[in-house]
Amino acid sequence: MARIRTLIKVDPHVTIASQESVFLIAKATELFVDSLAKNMYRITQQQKRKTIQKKDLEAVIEVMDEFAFLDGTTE
Amino acid sequence: MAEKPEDLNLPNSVIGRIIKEALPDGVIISKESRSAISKAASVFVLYCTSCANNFALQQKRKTLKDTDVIAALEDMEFEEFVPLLKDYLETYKTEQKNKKSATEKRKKAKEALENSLDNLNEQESEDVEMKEVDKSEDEVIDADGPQELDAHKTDN
Repeated sequence: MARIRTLIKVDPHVTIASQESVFLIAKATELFVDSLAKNMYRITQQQKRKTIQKKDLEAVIEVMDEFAFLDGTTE
Repeated sequence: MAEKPEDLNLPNSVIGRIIKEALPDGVIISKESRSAISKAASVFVLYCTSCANNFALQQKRKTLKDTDVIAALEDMEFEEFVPLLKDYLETYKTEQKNKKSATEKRKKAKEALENSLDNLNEQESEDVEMKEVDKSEDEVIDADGPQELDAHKTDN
């Protein structure tokens, strides 16, 4: 949770975050990673590969709306 | 204030564990993708924070609250996370409350013990004073004793 707090502080518009909000962001991030990995794997399977590759992430970003915010971050 | 890139990454061990648990056994993930996922997670935190903060500011608050984060996730189209997160939050709040009362109980027990010790010390020093008083009374009696005898002798 300490790293989450560090990241939150990066935002110049954030004054202070409650302990509960930091906790929620941390937990949400775990769920996000889980979701992202699963979705990437779906692409891997569709292409009949055994190894998940970076291009699978790029495909997820392109195809799924909720991951669109990651567009351009995979360089 | 320059931040090193490493400082903004989430712990690799945690990211690695979550990925492993998300995927069936035997699935291989390239190092590059693992790295990309980690970076995506950091971007998620920043984006979520920013969104949540907007909700807080809308309500003229400076403190980011749990409700802001929930609202942000719904806005970001991650509403499927919300029910599970609400459960996690309840558990977390209960744990924090229990921790707090446990700390208060320990503090009170410690204070009570210190008070007893203080009382015990006071009692001991009173006992010592009492003994000293008794001793000086004995000395006074001894001083008088011989004088009386002498007086008696003189009379005869």
